[in-house]
Amino acid sequence: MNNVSKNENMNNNTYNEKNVMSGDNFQTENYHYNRQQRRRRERNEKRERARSERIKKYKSAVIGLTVAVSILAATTLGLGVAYGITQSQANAYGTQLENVYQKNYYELVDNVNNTDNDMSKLLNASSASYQKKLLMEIANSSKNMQNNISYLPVNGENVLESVRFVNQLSGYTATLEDKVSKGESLTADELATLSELHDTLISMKQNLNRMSMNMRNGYSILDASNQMNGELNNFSIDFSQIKSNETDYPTMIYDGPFSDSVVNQKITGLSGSTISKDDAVKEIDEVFKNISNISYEGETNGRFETYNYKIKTTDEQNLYIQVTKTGGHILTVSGQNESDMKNIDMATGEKVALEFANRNGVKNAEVVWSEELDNQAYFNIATVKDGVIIYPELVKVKVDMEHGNVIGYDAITYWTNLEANRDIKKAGNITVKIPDGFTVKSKRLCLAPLEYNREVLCYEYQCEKEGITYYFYFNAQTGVEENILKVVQTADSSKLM
Amino acid sequence: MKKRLFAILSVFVFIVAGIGMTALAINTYQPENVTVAAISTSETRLVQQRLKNWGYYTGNVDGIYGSKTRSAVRLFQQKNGLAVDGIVGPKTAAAIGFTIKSDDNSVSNNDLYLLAKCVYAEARGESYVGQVAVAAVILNRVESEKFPNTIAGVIYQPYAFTAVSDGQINLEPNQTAYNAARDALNGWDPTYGSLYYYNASTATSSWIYSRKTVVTIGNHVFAI
Repeated sequence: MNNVSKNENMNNNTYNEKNVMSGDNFQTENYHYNRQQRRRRERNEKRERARSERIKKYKSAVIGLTVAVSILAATTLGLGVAYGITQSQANAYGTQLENVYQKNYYELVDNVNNTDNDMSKLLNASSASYQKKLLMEIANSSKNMQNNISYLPVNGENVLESVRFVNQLSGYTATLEDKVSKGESLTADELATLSELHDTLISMKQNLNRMSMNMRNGYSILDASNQMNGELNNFSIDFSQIKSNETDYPTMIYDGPFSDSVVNQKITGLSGSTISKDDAVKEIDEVFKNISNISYEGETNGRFETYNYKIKTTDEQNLYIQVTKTGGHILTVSGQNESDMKNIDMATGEKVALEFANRNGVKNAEVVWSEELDNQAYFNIATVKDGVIIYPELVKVKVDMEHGNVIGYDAITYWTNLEANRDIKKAGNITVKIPDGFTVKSKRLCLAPLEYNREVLCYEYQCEKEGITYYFYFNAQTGVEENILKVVQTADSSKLM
Repeated sequence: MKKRLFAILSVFVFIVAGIGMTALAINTYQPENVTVAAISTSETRLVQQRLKNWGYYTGNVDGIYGSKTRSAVRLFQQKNGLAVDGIVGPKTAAAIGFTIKSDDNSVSNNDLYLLAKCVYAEARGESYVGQVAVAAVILNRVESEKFPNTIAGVIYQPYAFTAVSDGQINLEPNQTAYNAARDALNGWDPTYGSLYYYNASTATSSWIYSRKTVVTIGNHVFAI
């Protein structure tokens, strides 16, 4: 403010000097002078007001900017600290993960190297007991290789073939070990296959060793797995090198786990002509009498070829139904009921299930297992021929205990294994020994499906010990114990193990 | 001029704050409300039914141990002089009138639980059969020579399931997921041995399209 008044004084002084100098037209000049002065003063005042306002604005701008910068600084600092903390946490987690990867990688290398040694020995071993020991070691190591590989961050399909190779190596050697322990010797074919597997393993080992060199130079599996190169991450690309292009994994057909033959099991039960969609709807209509709406849901083209439908029942249940194109049988029904209402008992449920199976062509059958869970009852139904329960010909039916309807059906096993003229051998005169402490509850003859598509006529003994139910299966011709099943009660259900 | 400056400043501060909040949110991201039930679905139903009868619980008897059930249990514990933690342990179970079944056979239970979790995480928007189908694919992988040989091994295989990679696997499954998982464990397989499935509208891998399609159920294409 002081500055402004000083200026005004100075201006006034200048005007006064001018007045003294021009004396003649003092009156008029004085008048003009006053007008001019007033105008000037007004102009000056205006200018001054604008200036002071500008200064005010600058001031508030400076204050605002200071506040903003302080906020920004504080936020940046806060974020910086938070970022620092999360970053160090992330680094710690990253290190832990890297360590898990490295551990599995190095174990994989160990397992491959040990198996390489064992296989060289096996191909030259002559005593059965030593062969058995080596086969067992190889089976275990290759099982561990599978475990190691499945820990590593490999994406894409490359990993599938590596896992297949180690799984089949483990399955094949386990099967051979079983054979050797039964007193049989390894055939020339089997030794040739082992040698082929050994070659594949050696190329895997060489490629792994190449990768180990990179690891020594600070290769991080985690970092590589975070860098994408097209659809694959860098680790997957590096890891896929363990199978070089010229190595072919042999196709493995043997009666054991992970054999190619077990996967491609033939369907024996389906025959007849191919039906149309209309026929399929008719079939569903005949079996389900309570349909309020039906819609076509496309086809399934896998091991079985089916037409698929969705129906709504008059009880407002949604069911998904698959009908085989060959023969026109209902293959599966999927549905559920979450209600708490229960209106029928298990005996009624069993009747409903059996009747449903009969209507779907499952004749001469009986319920072999049943269980109720959350107001849904499961019934396993198998055909019976000459008093023998044919377990391979099994359907599963799920009954809704509220409405007394079938809401689930699975006949895949049944149609896969059904044989019209199944030849059932006669049971021999055998003696079996049930271990001490078991009470035999029942005994019956059955055709038991054992591992790797083997079907064996067995005596099934249902026994009890300390309140737990066991099923013993003895070969009805040789008396050899083939299998034991234990009924495991869980919090939710019981289960055969 | 002044107003504009103020507006710019405010926007600036909001942006900075927004970035800060997002950073915090990313760091603390947890998928939905995760609850771990100490008791089984059927036991949860029993608890819900009894607490409903006694007026502690007002929700549905659905077997899901959600926040309503938990607060009902807390209320019950408070009224009955039990430790208030919202968890049905042996003492609370005894007060409600049942015994928690022993954990001796938890192996098979865990399989069902894990399978139900994966089904819920991967396919909760699908129809019932669509959920059974996803559970069946997991079990087909366990049997297959190309995949790990346990349910946990298949589910937690790196990159195998997106819902496992992004943490949705930790959501608590509902009754439908349990039913679907149980049907699959009982042998139901509407995909006839399929090993893969993908969402045709979002799948990015070109390789997956080379697999033979078996069936399309809802949004998922099942392939072998």
